[in-house]
Order: sequence, then structure tokens, then C-alpha cells
Amino acid sequence: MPVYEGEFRTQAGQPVPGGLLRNGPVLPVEIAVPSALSRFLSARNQQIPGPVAGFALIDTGATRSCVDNQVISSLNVNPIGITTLGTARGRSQHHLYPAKFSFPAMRFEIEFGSVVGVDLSGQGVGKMQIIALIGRDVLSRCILIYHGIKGSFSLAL
Amino acid sequence: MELEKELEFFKSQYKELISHYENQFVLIAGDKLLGSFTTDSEAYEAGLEQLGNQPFLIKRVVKGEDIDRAPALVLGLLNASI
Repeated sequence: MPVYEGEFRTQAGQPVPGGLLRNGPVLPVEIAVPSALSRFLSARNQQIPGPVAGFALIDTGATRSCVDNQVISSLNVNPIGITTLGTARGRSQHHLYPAKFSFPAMRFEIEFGSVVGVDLSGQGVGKMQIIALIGRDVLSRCILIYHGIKGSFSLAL
Repeated sequence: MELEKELEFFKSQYKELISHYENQFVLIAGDKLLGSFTTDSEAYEAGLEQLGNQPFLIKRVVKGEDIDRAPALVLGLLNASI
């Protein structure tokens, strides 16, 4: 079972006070076209867009994982559904997309039948943008330990 | 919004669909049902083969309305100051 140990440290290796508090549990992710679309494009000698790198934020409030609209559009992945997001402010409709999330630090991939397309622009950690949310659809198969006092978390997929 | 037409078709045909395809994934383009499948990945591959890399609707036929929740995202609390 691959495990990611998340902790905010300086380049000198010192813990960053409040890093987890400010940024939340994030881990490096690459968003790629779904494998079925890769095979489809490859069979037709069409170019396959390269993956987009950024951070994924673990969001225990989200029922389903999400991807940034601009990122998934840049991969030429078309929507395969519409879902309604319900919140205290009411409901809003969003497209659903198939997608592949890769976690290079864990050498692990997840092929999603669908994730929710949302606007994550302006959400970042340092210079890296948050491009995905890991929702409870993934967490239902994981062990997540959030050590707020130490400022670290562990995710076992 | 893309796929609204397909979603309207799904809703208009819901009684028929639930009686024949409950818990299956249906593939819809425009106002046409193109097939039913056991998994969403099968439906996606069929959609690519039949329609190419175009928007098409894949929807599981279940009782009740699906509502997803992402309160922190929609309320703008991903980076809230405390």
C-alpha cells in the first residue's frame, strides 16, 4: 500500500510552522487524459496532450473528487455528464469528466470514471496551483492520518 | 451548458430507462440512447468509438437524484484565514 507522508519543510529541511494549517493536506499530482482516450488518440495517430502537474488538496467535505476546469479543458477531455453540487448557498451545476490522476511521489495512479469540473483558479501552494481535490470517493479506500499538532499528515492509498 | 439536451432526454425517458436499465450506465447523444453498459468505463469507450472525442452523456440509471457536495470549495473556504 503506497504511503505519502506530508509535511511542510523549508529548503534547509526545517519544519515550517503552521504550514499544514495554512495550506491543508496537499500532495503533488499530475492530471492526464483517461487511458481510454489515450488509446483512442494513439490508434488514430493523433497527439496525446501531456499531463498537467500541480497539487491536489485532500477535501474531506467533498463527496467526489474534482479537477480544475482549465486543466481538464487544456487536455481536450470532453464532458460526459452534469452533476449538481449542493451547499448551504444552494445548488449549482458542473460538468463531469473522465480523468486520470497520477501521484508521482507514491508511484500510484487512479483512473476516474468521472470527476467534477470546478474553478480552482487562484488556489495554490507557493508557485504551484491546486488543480484537484481528493474527495471521499478516493478517501473511502484510504487511510488518512492528520496530525495537526505535529503539522503533518499521512495518506495510504 | 453542454449536455443539457442529453440530460433533458434522460429525464424525459427516466421511467422507461429505470424499468429496463436500473443500475446500468446509459450512453446518450442528443436525443438518442446509444447503449447501456455495466460500467462507466465501458460506456466511455463505446462513446469514443461511436462518436469520437465529443461531449456525450454517460449516466447511471438509479432511483433518486444524485447530489454531490463540496461545501468548502463552493463557499470559498479552501484558503480561509482563521
